[in-house]
Amino acid sequence: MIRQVLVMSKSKIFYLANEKDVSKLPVVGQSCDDVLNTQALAFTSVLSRHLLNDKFKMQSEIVALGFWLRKSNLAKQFTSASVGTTKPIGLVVHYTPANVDTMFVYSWICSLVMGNCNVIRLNSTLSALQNFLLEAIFDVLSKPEFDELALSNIFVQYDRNNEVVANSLSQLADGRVLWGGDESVLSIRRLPIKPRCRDISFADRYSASLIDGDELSKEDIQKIAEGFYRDLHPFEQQACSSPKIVFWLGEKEHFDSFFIEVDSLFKEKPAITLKNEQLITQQSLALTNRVESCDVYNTLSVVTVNAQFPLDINIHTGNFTLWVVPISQLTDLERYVDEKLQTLTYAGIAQEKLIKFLMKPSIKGIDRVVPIGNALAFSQIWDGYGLTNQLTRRIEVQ
Amino acid sequence: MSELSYRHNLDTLFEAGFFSLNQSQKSTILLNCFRYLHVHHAARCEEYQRISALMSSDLKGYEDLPYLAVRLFKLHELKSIPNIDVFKTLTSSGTTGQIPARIFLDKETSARQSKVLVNIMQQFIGKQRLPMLIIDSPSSLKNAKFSARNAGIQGMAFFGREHAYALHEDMSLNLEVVNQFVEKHKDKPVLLFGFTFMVWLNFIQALKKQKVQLSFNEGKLVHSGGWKKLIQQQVSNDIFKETVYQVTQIEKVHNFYGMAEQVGSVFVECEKGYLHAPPFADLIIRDPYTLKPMLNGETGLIQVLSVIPTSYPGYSLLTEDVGTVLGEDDCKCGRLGRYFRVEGRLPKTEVRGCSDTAGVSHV
Repeated sequence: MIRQVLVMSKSKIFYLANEKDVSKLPVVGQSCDDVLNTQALAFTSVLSRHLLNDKFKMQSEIVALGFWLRKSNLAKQFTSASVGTTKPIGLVVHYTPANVDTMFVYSWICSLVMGNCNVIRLNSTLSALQNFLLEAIFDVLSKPEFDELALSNIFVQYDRNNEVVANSLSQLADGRVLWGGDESVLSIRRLPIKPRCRDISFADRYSASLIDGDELSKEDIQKIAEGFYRDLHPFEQQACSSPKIVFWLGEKEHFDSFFIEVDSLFKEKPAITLKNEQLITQQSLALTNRVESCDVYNTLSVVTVNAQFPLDINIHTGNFTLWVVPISQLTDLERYVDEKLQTLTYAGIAQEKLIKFLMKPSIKGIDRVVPIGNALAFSQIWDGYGLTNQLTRRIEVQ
Repeated sequence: MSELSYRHNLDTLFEAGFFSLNQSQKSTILLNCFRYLHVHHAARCEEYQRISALMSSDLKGYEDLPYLAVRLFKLHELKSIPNIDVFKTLTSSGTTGQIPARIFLDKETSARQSKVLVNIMQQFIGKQRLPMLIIDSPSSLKNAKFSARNAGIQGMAFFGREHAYALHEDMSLNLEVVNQFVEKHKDKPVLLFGFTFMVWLNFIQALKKQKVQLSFNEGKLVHSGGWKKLIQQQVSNDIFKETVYQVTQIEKVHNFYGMAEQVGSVFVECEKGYLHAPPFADLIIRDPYTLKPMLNGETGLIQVLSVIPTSYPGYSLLTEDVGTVLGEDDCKCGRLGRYFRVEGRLPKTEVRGCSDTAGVSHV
């Protein structure tokens, strides 16, 4: 229903056709609120309760968002935001990713809680999950106690080829949050902006896991497999933070049983196209790398490659395929860590050891290191940015 | 098996036709050819060698033969000949409208394609070259590249003479040409050829709209190119044939299934409405959920096998088409071997991901 919604009504999606529509957005001229203002915090609590309602319980992505929005979690996220001398930056325009349905809400909420006004640019076609989510958001925003927030947080759509609208909206921004592939991000960055506009770009990234086979015991497998499944299953492995590569360190005794266990957690019938897509990826990989073995399970496709050859992540299409690189020591990882590697989830290996490795000057990638199972847990520090920092300005007082 | 016996086996197949080899005799000969082609490509195409090394090496039956995903030809340049021997490069238009497949032919493979196509088609439309109406515009042949479309037309044009083109450049009906053709060849055997969707939309529907009734009592219509768009319009093969008959009086309609990646060894629809594996080719059906071979009567992904390609590693391909083998050696039309039905294509996989922003093209 949301898609046909009325132009220019409170708390709904505004369709922007021309410059005038942009300049008439209620958010224009609104003043910001305080960092961690009470209305924003009240809103996030109500939204959290709303999303944790039973009717969404089948939507694990929405439930995860609901948990993230809980007061206790947000308090943890925003402890670094010092009240007193920190102020919002103004109007933030968010360019949302088309298909990782809940992602934009996280960065929007960070901006909202920091007191900014926000315009959220939505895709012209919304997924079912996004429709669900927006309906929930609008339900909460339309409560009388959030009148002001509804005026300063505006959802818009416009035709992707409408340059005039794209330009004028971009020029309103004091900060822009850009989700998307490299190309989309670059094309948004070419739009005109205010001289001091800040860009927070979340472009193409991918993620990997590190499992220390020497430390793995039979008892650990189930727990680690459950965590691994949690990282892999939502968004069909398409989220940047879902692992695509597994670095298997040392002993391979539990290798097979680990992947069998992960595979057994997939309960729904896989897509009819899945095995063919996996075959294409296997065969494409075999052209450039030496594939040692392919283990094809009900859902998973586990392709073990020879660590002597480079991996081209561009040919990895997700589809519940894992490329496994067996390594014999942590430093073997080095050659695989490029700037696009975002998250490294780990199991069986000591944190200090990892930190020591990451601190080597030659390591250019990896912005997050989290235990297996937490890959998708959004934190206000993302892709190496501190969002609360980026979305506020700090007044120096001497 | 040596190259010599591969050639010898091909000769046998050229002699055989549709009525002399039953499935078991045919598959014995073909399997020998495929084993030869496997060794041939593994020795000459490193990519094929690497991929086939991941699969079974004990080639006891069709189902043990390595197969390439047909989309690989869109993603990579795969050939088993040195560049200097490339005689022709075929490109598929591909309904997806994205990257075309590139198929590299040397003189031998190209000649074999034509020879096989002639052998197969003659068994459906006869040896005599008939006056031919091509349901396309003459300009579609002028496109410099060897797209599957003009390769298809050129290949089929061989079976006709006095070619006339039924469509204008903008794909509208050229009634003048059609009328001239009718006038000249009234009640004589003629051949019509076109791509399924164009035959339906630009020819049959256009004739209907203009209330033109043709009478090709002795006509044969051959068409190919996929049913995707017709299925969307709820047009089945039966409706297609019935409408063709009403508008043109043509009773003999032969659809054929084939692809740029295996030009030549086409699967032609018989008088009973079933597609037949010709002597030079065969198919197996694989379960889309496991890629394991399925039984006759079960519906799954079509793997096509062809004895033709030596210049590129495409003798065994897993297509993205879905079909059912309905039986072997017992089609009511009398042809031996496997007969089947194509049910459609695999749905397109929806790509989700962070790397796809709200359709931004701010350029």
